[in-house]
Amino acid sequence: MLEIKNFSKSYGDKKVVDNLSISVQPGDIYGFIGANGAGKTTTIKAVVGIHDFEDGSIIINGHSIKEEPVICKKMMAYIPDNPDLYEHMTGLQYINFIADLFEIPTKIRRERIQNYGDLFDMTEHLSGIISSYSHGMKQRTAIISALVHSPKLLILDEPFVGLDPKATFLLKKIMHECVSDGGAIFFSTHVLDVAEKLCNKIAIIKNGKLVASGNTGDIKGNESLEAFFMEVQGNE
Amino acid sequence: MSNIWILIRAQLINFFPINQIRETGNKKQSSMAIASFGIVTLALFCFFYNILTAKTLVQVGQQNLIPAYMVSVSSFSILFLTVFYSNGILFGSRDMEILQSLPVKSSYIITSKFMFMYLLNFLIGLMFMLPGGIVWGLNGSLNLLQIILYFTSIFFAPLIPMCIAACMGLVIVVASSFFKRKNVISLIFSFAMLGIIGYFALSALQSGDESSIGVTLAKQITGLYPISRLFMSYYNFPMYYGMGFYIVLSIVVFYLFVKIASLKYGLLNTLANTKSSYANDKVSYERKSVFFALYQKELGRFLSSYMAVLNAGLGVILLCVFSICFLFNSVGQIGNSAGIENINEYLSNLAPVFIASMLSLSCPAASSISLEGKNIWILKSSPVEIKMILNAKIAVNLTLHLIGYMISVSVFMLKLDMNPIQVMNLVIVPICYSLFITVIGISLNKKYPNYDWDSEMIVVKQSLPVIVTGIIGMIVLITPIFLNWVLNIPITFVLQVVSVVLLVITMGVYITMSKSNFI
Repeated sequence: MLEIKNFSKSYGDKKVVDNLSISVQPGDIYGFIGANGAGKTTTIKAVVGIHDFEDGSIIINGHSIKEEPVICKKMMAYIPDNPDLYEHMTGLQYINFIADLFEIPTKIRRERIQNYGDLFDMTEHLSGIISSYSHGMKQRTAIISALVHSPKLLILDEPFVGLDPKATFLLKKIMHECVSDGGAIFFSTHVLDVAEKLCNKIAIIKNGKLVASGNTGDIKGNESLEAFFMEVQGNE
Repeated sequence: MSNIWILIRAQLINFFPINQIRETGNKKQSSMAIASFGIVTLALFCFFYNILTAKTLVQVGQQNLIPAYMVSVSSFSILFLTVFYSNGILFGSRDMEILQSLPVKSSYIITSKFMFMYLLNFLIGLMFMLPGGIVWGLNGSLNLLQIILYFTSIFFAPLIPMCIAACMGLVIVVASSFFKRKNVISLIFSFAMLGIIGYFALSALQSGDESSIGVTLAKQITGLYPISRLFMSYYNFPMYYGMGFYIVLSIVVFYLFVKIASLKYGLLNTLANTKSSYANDKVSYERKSVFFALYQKELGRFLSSYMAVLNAGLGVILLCVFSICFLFNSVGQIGNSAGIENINEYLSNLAPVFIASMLSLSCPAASSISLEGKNIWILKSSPVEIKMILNAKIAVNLTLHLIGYMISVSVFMLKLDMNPIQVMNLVIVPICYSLFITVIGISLNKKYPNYDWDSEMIVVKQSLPVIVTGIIGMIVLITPIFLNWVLNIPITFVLQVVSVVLLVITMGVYITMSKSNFI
């Protein structure tokens, strides 16, 4: 589903990600863990086509994000850590706008918007202008817009930040539904408890380099993920 | 005092990418070099223009009017420009929440914001007052006190017009906050304010119908900016008293403004930051084409930005106003008052340049990519070709131009007696200029985007793509007039050749730009 091969990215002279390789298969909930500034967001932004990069390749279902960005982007959805949405639009206008870009037919989008709107308690707020939304409401609007085209691959950057317990629970449920339908999820997080319980696979990045990746159980062994992570962070 | 300096320094670091320039190999180094070159060229042009103006006053024996003239024109320019961006800097900028949470007095924050604005306006004032002062100093029998007071007053000249502009901004902030469609009301108020300023300027220029050129000029100068009277000697009242009083008056007005504004600074910022609160209860799930969705989003973004409409829309609005005024005035009457004999021929030849110049002033495309700001991830991660995104932004620019174009071309066709070649030029030349300036604007913005801004004013008014697009626009407008003037080539023919060249460049730039996979 997602193949990151020997990916490297620099800002000026500084290499922020160095020779990273990760493989996400259908059915995977893949957690991407690292300290602040480790290179998680840079990697995610390259995967979704926001950042260009120098070395390596990122392949989504057999298509390169560099060579065929439109085909790749059609198959995935991205939710950023900070939901900066178009503030001049209403929630519904924004979701419709995204649905238009993904060319979703009227009937299908109506069903999905109504379904996810009700699920996330957003239906009655969607006619309001986004600038009047709270952080959580913007986050929920971003989630609905990401799900409106039923993506095969969900890329999430710190998805649980700013969500209330109910929305967090619903998002986890949706993540499970997505992978049970043959999709895959790749997400970054600082919440190690969530990663440990939710992810079947994890990758740990430190100073731009991959230090561990694979099945969650195999990586952490008998200790907790938190203990393993701290151990990895301590080893220079 | 040290707190004010710390705040000013932070704004300067934020406004001018000082840290990025210091960093070796940073992309901003080249863009800043281009911007600096553009700004220096403009400044030099303005400087030499004002030297020539001051010399002309000397030639007609009115060297004593130079100080008042320079104060008047620079203050008017500062007033006009500050109305456009005072609200973006003084009230409602993004850093305001952080600043207000710090242990700093409101008066310090407003002083630092005002002083930052002052620095920009001081440079504008300097471009008028310094050359004027040099010519005046060399051609008048002056004492040392007069010279010292004149050059000291350069530092104080921006204060009063800035306070007046900021008060106008305040009225707009407070008045529009009572309405749900805040941006629309702000724009109406802003254009009304600009209309009032324009009316005063026009009245001032028409006021000098006296037999003596000195009295005529004096009336025009004081009509434009009444306080400039303090820089004139009259009724045996020595000029240096007036200059001294002007300096004191500027300080008092500035002090009072800061004191009064800081009393309700928190409230004013809250009002400035209050977002439009309308809701759209119309529930529609109708599918639109990708291009139309992007176009609609882009148009909504432009219209929702007070700064973008006020600044990037100005040329088209002025064009519409001029065209409507022209419609209700007889061509002969205009010729008589302008002192041009064959006014019909003159206007018929130059109408395409006039329309093109107004359209070139309006180039929202030059800031449209930067205006995406933190929302840029949406377009970058969407399954849409870059070409389509750029086309939507270009289409919005052309839509704006189309409004001014349709009105002005119709009016000129109706009012002027033109031959077929002149009609063809009137129709085609503005289109070529419009396409050229739009594509150049967006290509520069694509190459030098700035997504990290605190106020839209920074990208709409003072970003590299906007400045360079403006300079390129001026060059391509001056070129045909220059060729006609110097080489005596017929203007209709020159315009046709220049238009073809512009179209070729436009095509080349557009094709290159559209090939990109990344914004």
